[in-house]
Amino acid sequence: MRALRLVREDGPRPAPAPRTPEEAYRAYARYVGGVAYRLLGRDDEVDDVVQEVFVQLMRGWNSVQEPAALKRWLATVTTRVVSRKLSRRRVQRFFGLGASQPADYEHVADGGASSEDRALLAQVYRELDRLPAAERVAWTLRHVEGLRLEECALRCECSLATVKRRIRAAHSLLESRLSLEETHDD
Amino acid sequence: MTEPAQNDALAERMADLREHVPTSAPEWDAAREHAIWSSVRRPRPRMALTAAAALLIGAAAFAFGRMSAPSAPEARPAPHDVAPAPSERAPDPATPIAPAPSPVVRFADGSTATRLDGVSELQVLEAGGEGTRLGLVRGGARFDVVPQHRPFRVEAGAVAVEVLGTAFAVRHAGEGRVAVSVDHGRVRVAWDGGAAELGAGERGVFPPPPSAELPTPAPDEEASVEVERPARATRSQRATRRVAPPSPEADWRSLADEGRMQAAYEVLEQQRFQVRDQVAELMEASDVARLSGHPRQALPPLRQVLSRHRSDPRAASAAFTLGRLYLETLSEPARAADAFAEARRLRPRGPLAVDAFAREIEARGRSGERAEARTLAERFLAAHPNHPREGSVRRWIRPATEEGADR
Repeated sequence: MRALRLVREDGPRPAPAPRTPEEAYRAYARYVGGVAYRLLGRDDEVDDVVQEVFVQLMRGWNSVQEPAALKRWLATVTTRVVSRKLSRRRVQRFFGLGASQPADYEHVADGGASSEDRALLAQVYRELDRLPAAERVAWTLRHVEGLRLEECALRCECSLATVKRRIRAAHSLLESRLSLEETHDD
Repeated sequence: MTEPAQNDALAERMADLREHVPTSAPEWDAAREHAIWSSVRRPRPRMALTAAAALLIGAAAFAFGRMSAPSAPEARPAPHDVAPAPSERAPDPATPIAPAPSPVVRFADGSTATRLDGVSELQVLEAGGEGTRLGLVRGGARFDVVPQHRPFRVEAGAVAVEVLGTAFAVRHAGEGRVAVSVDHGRVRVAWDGGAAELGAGERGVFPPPPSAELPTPAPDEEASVEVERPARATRSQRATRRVAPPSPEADWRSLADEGRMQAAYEVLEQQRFQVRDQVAELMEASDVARLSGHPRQALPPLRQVLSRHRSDPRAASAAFTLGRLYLETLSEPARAADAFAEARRLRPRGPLAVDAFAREIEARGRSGERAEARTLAERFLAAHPNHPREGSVRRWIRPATEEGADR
């Protein structure tokens, strides 16, 4: 899947910048859905997030200054919308609202993952559910999206020092809670 | 692509695992994409509440304790669009409440909601045997809630206030913050990473600004608190540092920000722990000592906060941290109990007060003051029934012969 993605990005000529919200939606809806999915680890809220992001785009379309930077703008807004959802979900749990059972993240990994990788990825997302939204999002951008720290800070709309602190806090908690066993090739 | 740091097993593992996380949501197809676009062009009401605030407030009156949800979130009816239909009563969720100059809405149980001005707008989301749920779409409103055993909940953007028997007001304050004021009764305000309690006559804007006190998380709590340090003029002029052994000229605070606690501690040692007599710096120095494995050296800065800055809102947090150090790390429960009691005295209605109370009880019990622990425990349970710490407090009411081994 990753090889196919590279081929699409390295196509013969870049697509022109969208001229209307609908063109922007056709160009980037799948991308926004993917960003949301990787941040949430679940598919059931992706549609809501995509809708919210493009509603915001439509409302602010006339003030879009740089169509070429639209993709980055969409990613930032998606991160913001997901962060709010995660915060709300967390406080709902605090008051005993929302789902009483932990979410099932066994389906996060694609078909090419080993059962061990699938289980570990599911465990990662379950532990991410226990983190504050800001820290969870920062860590996910860094270690699931694979972004550089500076990109994480831009996406989280905070300073580099702040995003480092959030990532560090999340990372140390995850390290203490996840069971990472060394695997040895025989 | 980022490269994992050396000896970071988790980062290395994630570098492999992320290859297996799809770049698109599963089952993303043209039909799904089209359906979402339809909803973008004609937004569904359920999206209407997500745009306003970036924090969530949960409030419960003192006597309410842990809440039970009136229904699962998925089963709640979607909020209805507000139509300009004047009404002074809200008998069912289908009846919207139109903006009008300060009308009073009366509910069947006698509770009332009063808009603060002509542009404030409320929606009835739920009104029935399971409780009352209102949406504050814009502006502000005052709520007088009759004591009852069903939830009364107000949702303002991504903020929710749920109370039992109190009078309070909630208002959008701009920039994702919400103002809450309490006329009588008590409310608990929570946001991602912090909490506060307001009593009669108190008010606040939440989340608080970065310089204000934030609660210190307990080790068994899931929440962690991000404390935004006040910007320091010199930090903005420093270049990114490479990892290097600390020198006496190294700034211990920058090292701490980078997570290099041991290095930061070594610099403090070289400086003979001379730090400025400012609460933020004293607390940071204490954190450096504690997190680098030097708990005894974490004590003096906290004591200095208490002796020289008692009126600072963060003094209670310093006392609380002192208590935790004594109880959990240094095994000095008597001193821990005194510190927790001090935290309560400094801010009896602060966000740490109830937690400090529970820990003081445990510390008294562990230090051998069982009679005092029992008295305090009875007082705690009377004041805070169904509190999450009820279990740990109740054990100090049982006779000593029934006690298991202490932890």
